[in-house]
Amino acid sequence: MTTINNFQNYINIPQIIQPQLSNNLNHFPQFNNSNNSNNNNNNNNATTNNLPPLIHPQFMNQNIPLVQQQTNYNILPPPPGLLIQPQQFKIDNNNNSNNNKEIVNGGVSENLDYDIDLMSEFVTKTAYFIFGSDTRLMLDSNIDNNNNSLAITSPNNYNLFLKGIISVLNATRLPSVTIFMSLDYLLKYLRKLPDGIDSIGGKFINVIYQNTIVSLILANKFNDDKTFTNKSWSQATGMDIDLINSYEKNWLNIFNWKLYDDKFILYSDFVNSFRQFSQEKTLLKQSLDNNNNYSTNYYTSSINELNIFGNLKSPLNVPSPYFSPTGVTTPSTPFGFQTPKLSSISSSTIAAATAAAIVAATKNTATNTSSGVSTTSSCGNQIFSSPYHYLNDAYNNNNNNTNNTMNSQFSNYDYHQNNLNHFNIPTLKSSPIMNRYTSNNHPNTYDDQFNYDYYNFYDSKQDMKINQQQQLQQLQLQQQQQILLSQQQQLQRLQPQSQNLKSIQPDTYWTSNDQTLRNKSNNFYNNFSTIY
Amino acid sequence: MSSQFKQLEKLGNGTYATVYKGLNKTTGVYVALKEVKLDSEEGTPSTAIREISLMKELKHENIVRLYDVIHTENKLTLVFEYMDNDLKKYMDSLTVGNNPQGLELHLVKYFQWQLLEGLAFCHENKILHRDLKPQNLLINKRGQLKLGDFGLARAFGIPVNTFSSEVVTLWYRAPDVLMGSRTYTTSIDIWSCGCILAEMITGKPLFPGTNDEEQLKLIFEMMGMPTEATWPGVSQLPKYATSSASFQQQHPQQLQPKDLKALLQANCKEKLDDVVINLLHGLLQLNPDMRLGAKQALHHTWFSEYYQRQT
Repeated sequence: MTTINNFQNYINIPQIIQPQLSNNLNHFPQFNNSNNSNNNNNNNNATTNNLPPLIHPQFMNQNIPLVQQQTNYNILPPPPGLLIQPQQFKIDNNNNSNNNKEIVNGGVSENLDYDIDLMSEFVTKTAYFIFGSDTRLMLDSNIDNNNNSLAITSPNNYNLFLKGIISVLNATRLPSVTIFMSLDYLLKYLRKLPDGIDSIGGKFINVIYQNTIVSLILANKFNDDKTFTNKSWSQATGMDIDLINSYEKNWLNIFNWKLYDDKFILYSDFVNSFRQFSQEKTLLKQSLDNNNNYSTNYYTSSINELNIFGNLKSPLNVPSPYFSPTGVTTPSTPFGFQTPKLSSISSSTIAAATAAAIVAATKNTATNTSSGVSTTSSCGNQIFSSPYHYLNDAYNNNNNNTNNTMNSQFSNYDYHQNNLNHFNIPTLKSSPIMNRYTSNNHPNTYDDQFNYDYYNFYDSKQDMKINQQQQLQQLQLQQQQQILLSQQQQLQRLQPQSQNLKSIQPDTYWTSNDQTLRNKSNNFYNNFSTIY
Repeated sequence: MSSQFKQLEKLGNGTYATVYKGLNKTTGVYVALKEVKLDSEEGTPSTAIREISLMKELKHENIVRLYDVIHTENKLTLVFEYMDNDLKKYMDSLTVGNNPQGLELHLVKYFQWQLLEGLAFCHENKILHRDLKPQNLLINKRGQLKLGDFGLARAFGIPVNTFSSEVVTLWYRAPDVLMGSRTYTTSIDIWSCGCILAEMITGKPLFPGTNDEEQLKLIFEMMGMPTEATWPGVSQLPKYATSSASFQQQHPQQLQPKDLKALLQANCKEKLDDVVINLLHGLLQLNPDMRLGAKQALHHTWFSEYYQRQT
């Protein structure tokens, strides 16, 4: 219950930052697409004038006049595959729409209502979360990584996953509704599994990736008027087509074919969480853009790597221990990702750019400490590995008159220890799953899969173990002390009084390297001892 | 699983599926077996995924019931409630020589009532059928009519930003969709209902166009060319400019809407009253916002004998 309370308090906090963000958002195309969509639609539809009327294939042989034979009316040509030039982040709206047209060569939506890179990251992190894993675990590279190359905690695997999703969204250009629906499917699927996650292979990177792809396939087939064949999906994802088919069949079986949910209660939550996620990312990007010293695009750094390393390595190339009889093989990672060199930015400029956010954050911490909630769990960005976290710490420490400064906070932090430090995972409140499926209304919640302790940045089980160990140690210490004490008492009884006095020599209390001083003090003490 | 049903004669054929009559050996009940061949490259067809997932939710007297789905390696079999005929075949069977005959008006009314009942249920459940036409309306010997073939259907409860304008068989496609509208909603099915009502009365399709342009031309010749005054926003539709230009080229002088009643009366033996024509006009409004809803249409005076009996 305490974690839930913390979580609820936490929900309300970062809202205060939002008003300052909203002004900035006008620069970003994904928030303005709705305004332009009408105009763009007009242009785009003009190009589709020549399409023949849609005729249901079932009635091709009947005496309805056909203009043109079109058997697969709802199937587009295959997506162009993995190596699509990713969209770069454009500030200018007009340029953006033009560029989109050049890039688009087959996909569901001509005008996307989101930024592909942002959405890919959102999808990846939500998928991780749905599988009960936390991207932040990857900070500790020791967990599982030594034992298993498919570990989801491996940063390399995370990056492969992210790039896989980016390429899929570039190729398919799925509308955001379909993507949110697929995440909803993924969530429902895991909850419907009779034997839990282990029955589909466990928490391994390829299991998560493959199931995320299948959820996208089914959402696309159910919700979109333009759908892709599984072969196209296979080309876009690198996933074997037979595997896709068998996954698809298994999914439909688990769902009992009921993919229609007329409520889709999580939809608005997904929309809000993605908006929140985008705002956090764009604020971070702006604060970095304002600094001219930092020329490398921090925001799309991972995308630039995609350009450099043309050979995308999909997580799927790694055989699953579950599905492959040969077992685990070591994946060859074609490239080593480098973290954006954040330390090269002078920390003061970041501090200036985000000063307002800090003020807001500290206000929050103040209100929350008064309500009895610890600041670590209530402070919005603190659980993430974003610079805000350290910023907040710095600010608080300054108030406490410690020697730390903001700058020292930044310089003390090793930004190169892991590139994943720079990815924000969706905040708790922006994680719709938390709100609905972990509430008391759902008694069948898998605790393992939706462990909100992850989001409080500590593992409760680990904590308990440590506590138990500490208690044990304390007990042992006490026992030892008792034994020692009793032994001493026995000794004291045996030894004469004089020796007992001797045992409390002044040297044991007051020592000095200066022999003369030491002698003096001894004399001084001895004088007193004679008096008393 | 498949041995549970005895496969009988073929009922229909298509590229997407073949439909057989089947017999449930345990219950002795006839069923319709819709067999979908699975192509390993396509995977499970999206039409099948939609049809099954939507029809599993739609349990209504006037919607064909989906009993079961049998998913094997290379075949997908949908087990449907058996219906004797479809409306298209039934109307064709009434043709005398080369002259198609309309249905008796009391049957037209009963069918149209059931069509609107089934459609209203779809719309209540946030589902667009998007392919209403006589071929997809199944009937049985008791005079029941049920909506079938939900392969093009789509949920519209959640916000959608990519509706295709390439939906509904041409003859039953609404003018706003023909002009490229992608923001259509339940009104798309209502237009089809209007076309079907007229076709049941006369036995002939109301707007038998051969392509998009001719289809629009037939509609405008009958109902008049829409303007900003009669249909605010129509000029914003993608294909409005081209269609109105070509229409004015063919009809330089102002063209008045035709008298629908006189046109239908010419092909109908019984005397048509103004009430049914009024309903028809309500269903066949060019402006989609002006079209009746399915529930509204059910409350039309023409159906008064049904809802008076109900209350």
